[in-house]
Amino acid sequence: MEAKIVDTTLRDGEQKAGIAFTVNDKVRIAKLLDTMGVFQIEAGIPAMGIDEMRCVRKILEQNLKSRISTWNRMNPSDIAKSIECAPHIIHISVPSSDIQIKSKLRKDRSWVLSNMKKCISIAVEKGFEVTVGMEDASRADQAFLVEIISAALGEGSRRIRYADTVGVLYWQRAYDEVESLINQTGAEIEIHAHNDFGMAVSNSLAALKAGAEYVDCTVLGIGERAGNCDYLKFIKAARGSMGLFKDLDIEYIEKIHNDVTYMIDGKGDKIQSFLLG
Amino acid sequence: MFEDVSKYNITKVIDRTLPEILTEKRKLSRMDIIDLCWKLKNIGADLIEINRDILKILGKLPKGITFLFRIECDEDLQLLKNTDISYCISKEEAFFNKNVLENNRLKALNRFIEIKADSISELLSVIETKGTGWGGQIDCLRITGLNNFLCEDWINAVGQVSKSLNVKIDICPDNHFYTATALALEAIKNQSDYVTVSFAGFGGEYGFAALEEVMVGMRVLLKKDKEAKLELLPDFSKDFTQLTEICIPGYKPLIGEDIFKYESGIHADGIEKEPSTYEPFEPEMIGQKRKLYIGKHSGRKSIEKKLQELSIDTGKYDIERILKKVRRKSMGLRRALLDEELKEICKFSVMAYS
Repeated sequence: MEAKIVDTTLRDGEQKAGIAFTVNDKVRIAKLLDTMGVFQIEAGIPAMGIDEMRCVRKILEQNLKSRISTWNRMNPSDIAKSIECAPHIIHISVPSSDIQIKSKLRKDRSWVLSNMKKCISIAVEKGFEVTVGMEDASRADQAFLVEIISAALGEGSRRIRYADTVGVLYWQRAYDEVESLINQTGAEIEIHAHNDFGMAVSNSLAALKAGAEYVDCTVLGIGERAGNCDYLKFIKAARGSMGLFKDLDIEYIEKIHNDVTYMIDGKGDKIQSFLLG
Repeated sequence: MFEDVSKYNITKVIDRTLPEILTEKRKLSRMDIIDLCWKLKNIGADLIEINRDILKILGKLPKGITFLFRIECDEDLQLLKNTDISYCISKEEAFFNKNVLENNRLKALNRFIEIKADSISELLSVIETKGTGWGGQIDCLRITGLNNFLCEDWINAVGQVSKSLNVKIDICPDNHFYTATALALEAIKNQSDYVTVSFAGFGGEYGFAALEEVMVGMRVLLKKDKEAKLELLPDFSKDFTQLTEICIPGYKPLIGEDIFKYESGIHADGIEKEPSTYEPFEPEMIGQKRKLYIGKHSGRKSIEKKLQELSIDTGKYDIERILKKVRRKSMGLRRALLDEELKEICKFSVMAYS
C-alpha cells in the first residue's frame, strides 16, 4: 500500500476565514511543502483573479518536484483561467449531493453530469491531466456518485476526489463508501476529509485502508470551519498504525511545519528558515 | 459488539476531565467542582469520574450526580465508606489485593477494572489469561489505549471479550494516533455499554476522545440523542480555559471560536442560499453564531451581505471596485478586514453617478 499526499494548504487551507497569504508567502510555502515530500500541491484558484494566476505561475516557475494543480468550479471560464496558468493538473469540483445541486446550483443531476463532461473535455483536449472532485460526496446518493465517476472516467479523468465537505463521515462509513466506489468503478480515489467532528485523520486512514491512494492534507489542518486533515498528524498516524511513510524524517517535517505555521500566523516576513534564508 | 449486554440502551458516557485537571496540579475549590459536575452532566456525561483528591475536596457529595470513584490504595477504601458512590474503578493490580477483594462496601458497587490493550491480539489474550480468575468479581472492563484498533475486526474482538468474561465494556481510547473520537463513536454505534472521554480530549499522555465531539457526533452522525444541552459547550469551554489556562484553538472542532466564521465567496454564497450546503448543523445547536468575514477570498455577494449587515446602502457603491480593494488590502495585512476598514474603502468607492 502506498499513499500520496495532496497538500491543499494554499487553496482549502487559505480559505479559513481570516487567512490571506501574499504571492510571496504562497511561493515560499510551496517550496517548503515540496521539501516535505508532498506529491501534489493544490496551488490556488485562478478564477479568483490576476494575483492568484500570477501566484500559480510563480509556483510553477520554481520547478518543484511536487506536481502543481489548480482548483476550479465546474465552469468553462474557470477552466480557461487555469489553462492560461498551465498547471500540471487541473482539478474540477463537481457538486454531488442534492443539497448542493438544488440549493447552491439550483440545477439537477443531469445538468451536473453534462456540464462536468463539457468542462473535463475542455481541459483534456488541451492535454491537461484532469482530476474530478465530488463535492459533498458524503451526503450524496452513492448511485449518483458512481454515475459521476463513470462519466468522468469516460472523459479521460482517472482520479476522483471524495470530498467529505462538511466532515460528517465516520470510520466505518468512510471505509465502506470508498471500498464500494473503488469496487464499482475502478477509479483512483483521493480522500478529502474535514475535521468538524475531530475525525479527519481517522477518516483519511479509513479511506486509505479501503484502497484510496491519495490523501488531502493541510499544514496544521487549517481550512474552513474546523479545518482539514492535518498533514503532520496524518503522517504520524499512518506511520504508527499502518507502517507508512517510514522514510520521512518527522523531525525535519516538524521544523518545516513550524515555518509554515509562522506564515499562517501572518509573520512570514520574520521567518528565518534554514531553507529560505 | 455488545448486543447481548445492552441491546436497547444508549451507551453511557463517563467523563474523566476532573481528575485530569487535578493531575496537572491545578487548584479546584468545592464549588468549582460541583459547578463543573453539573455542567458536564448537562452536556451529556452520565457518570463523572473522580479520585481521592477530588473526593477530599468535595467532602459531602452533591445529590443528583452519579460518580465513578477510582481506587488506587487502601486509603481510598476508607474514603469510600462514608459515601453513597455506586461505581468504582481500579487497575487490575489494585483491585485484586486482599483488602479490596474482601471489602464488603465494594462488593455492593458496580466494579470496573481498567486494562490497556494496543492491539487486538493483546486484547484477546485477556480471555486466555484472565477468563477464569475474574469470574463474577467485576462488572465492567474498561479498555484503554486501543491505538491500533481501527480495523474491521476490533468490534468483534471486543464483543468476544465481553461475552467470554460476561462483563460490560467501557471503551476509553487514547489519542496517540488521533483516532480516539472515531473509536469512541464506533463503540457507541455498536452499542458499547460505556465510553470514557474528557472535555477537549484533555489529559493522559496522548489525550482522550473529546466529550464534545462524542456528544455532538452521537446526535448528528449516529442519531442517538441523549438530550444533552450542547448549547452549554461555550460556557464550559470558558470555565475550562480559566481553570487550566489552556487556550482552546480557534479551529478546535465544536468548541473553537472560529468554526462558524466564513469568508470565501463560494461558501458565503452557499450559506446565504442554504446554510446546510456548507455546515453540518446549525451553529446555535452548540451555542455558537456564524460570522461573515471580508477578505482576500470574498466575492461580490459577500461584500453586499456585509454592507447590508452594516446598514450601508449597497446601491450607492461600486461593488467590483470595493472587492478589488478588499482583496489587495487583505493580502497586504495578511488577514481579513475589520468593519471599520471596509467602511473606509467604501468611502472611496462611490458609484460615479451617485
